[in-house]
Amino acid sequence: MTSVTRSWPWGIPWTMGSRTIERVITDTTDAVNVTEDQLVQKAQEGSPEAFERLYEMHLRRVYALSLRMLSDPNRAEEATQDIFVRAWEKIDTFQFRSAFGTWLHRLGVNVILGNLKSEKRRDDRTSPVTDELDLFVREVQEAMPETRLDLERAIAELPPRAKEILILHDIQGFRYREIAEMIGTAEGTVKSQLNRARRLVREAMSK
Amino acid sequence: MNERANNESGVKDCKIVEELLSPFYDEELNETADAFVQRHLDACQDCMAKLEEIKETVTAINELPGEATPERDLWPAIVTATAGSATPLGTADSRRWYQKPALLAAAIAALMVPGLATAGILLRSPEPAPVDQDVGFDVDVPDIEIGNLEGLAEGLAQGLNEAFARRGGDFGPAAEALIKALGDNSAEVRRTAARALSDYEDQRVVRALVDALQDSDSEVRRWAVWSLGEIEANQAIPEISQTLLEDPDDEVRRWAAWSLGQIEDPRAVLALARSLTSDSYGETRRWSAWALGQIESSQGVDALSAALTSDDVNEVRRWSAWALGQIESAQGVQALGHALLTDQHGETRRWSAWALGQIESAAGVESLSRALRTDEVIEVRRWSAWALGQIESASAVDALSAALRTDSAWVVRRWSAWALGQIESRAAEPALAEAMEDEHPEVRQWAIWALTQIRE
Repeated sequence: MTSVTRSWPWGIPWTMGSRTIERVITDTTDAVNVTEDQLVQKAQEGSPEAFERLYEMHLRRVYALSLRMLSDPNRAEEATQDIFVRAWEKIDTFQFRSAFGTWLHRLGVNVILGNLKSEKRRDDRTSPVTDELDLFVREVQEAMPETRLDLERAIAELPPRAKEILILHDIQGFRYREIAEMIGTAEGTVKSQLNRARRLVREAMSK
Repeated sequence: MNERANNESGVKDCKIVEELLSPFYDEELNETADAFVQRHLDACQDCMAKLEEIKETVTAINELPGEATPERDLWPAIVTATAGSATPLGTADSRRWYQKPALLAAAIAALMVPGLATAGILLRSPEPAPVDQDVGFDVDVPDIEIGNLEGLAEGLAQGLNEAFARRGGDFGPAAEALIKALGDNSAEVRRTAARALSDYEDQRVVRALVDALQDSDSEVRRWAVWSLGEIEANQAIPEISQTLLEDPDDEVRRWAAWSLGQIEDPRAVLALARSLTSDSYGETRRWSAWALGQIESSQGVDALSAALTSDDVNEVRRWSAWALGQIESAQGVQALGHALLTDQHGETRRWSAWALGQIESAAGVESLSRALRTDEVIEVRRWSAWALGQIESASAVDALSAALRTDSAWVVRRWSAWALGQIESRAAEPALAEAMEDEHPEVRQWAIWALTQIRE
């Protein structure tokens, strides 16, 4: 087993993106023919290889969520790591009622919101400062070459609560009630914040 | 008067409705509110225009890509973070965990060595080894957590080495004592010494380890050959090669192959090639294939091609495909093409496709195109599409266009679109234009990208 450095203009099948990725050839015997549920089952039985495979399958979605929610590549990487560590610790509690990806994303949102909450207590910032935003935009360009940078920037510049709600609703597809539960607020707040977030994005785009 | 009242109430309604447009669009209003907004919209063009704006914004946000690639490989940090938990994913480096299953035996062996007590104390020193110190384990319990034990063995070895290093510097009394311990009566002591010597890059240590390759105890030989690999002792290649080909113990030969792959010296290629085609133990053949891929010498291609097309162990064939992709020699194309179309093992076919993409020879196009059209495994088709994009030959356009139009898996369609963009042939335009109607947004996005590439 060895790690292989590969560098292509547009990445390799599991890592579409214009960057050099150091990934590992994983040893999951005939993993190509194993379904996701079977992998989850194996991971629940304690197989690190099966979990690594699940990581490979979901890494990029989880990272996209973290990157947008936190607007900071370093924190997004840390959060992504936290999410997978938690997923490994809690994988026993997954009961196949939903798709594994849905469960993982919900867990991911909780981890990120938890991180944000503890950070807000420490540091009462309202939105990222310009340097951080530039760093974020550069990272987005690398991490998602096909995205719309103006739109990403407009979302990143939203006030924190409005941004969270917009991402959870318009990108992650959660319903108002679910979001209200996740962030511990009233449904009415979700409603008004989402309305405001969309208006601000629209205004930023038409500038 | 009446008209004025209507206007006033209309303006007031607009304000209320404006607040409700977002939830209205999201279908999150109750029936009464929904009907109210609907009625207002039927009569008010301003509000209707605002709803259109919301729709546009949300659609644009919806279409943002859902995946992003982080810059670093995050997996090692995840593994490290779980090291202290009840169910670790491995140790700080899961690859090492895999490469050194023998450490399990070492941990148990170390328990029986007098030095253990010292090592245990060392692990609790102010700078602890990266291992869960409170891990209580009992060698009699059958279901020991491998990860924990392996971590412990690493920790023990590290502790021992740190202790020796502290006492003796790089080579001094400590290394001297360890070399002497290689002659100890107890095989357990000799094993521990052979393991601990891996931290001393010194001629005398290498000579002593080479001598230990003749030890009567197979575990001592195994640790000696492992340490030589860790030290990357290229002056010991003849002896390690001899061990690879002649040692009677399967595991010693396997670790000799690993060791040669670590050293990455082309002088080992002939021995590895012979081992790959003749060793009776599958794991040794597999690691010989791996080592040949590490060394990346084209002299290994014949043996790897033979193993790829005829070995009866799946993992040997799969790693042979990987090694051929590492070497990137066009001589490997024929065997890879054959494996891609005929191997029973999905992973081997997938890695054959990958290897053909690495080699980038037009001779691979035919088999890749066929695999893209016919393989039943999605991953094989996806990698075939990727490989065709790497090769950039216009003769692949038909197969890629067909995959873009009809493949049932969207990832295959997406990679076909990407590959067509790489090839930049105008013949791909009709299929790419049709792909604008694809049900999956990523396919549509990559089709647009591909069309731009072609036009440029």
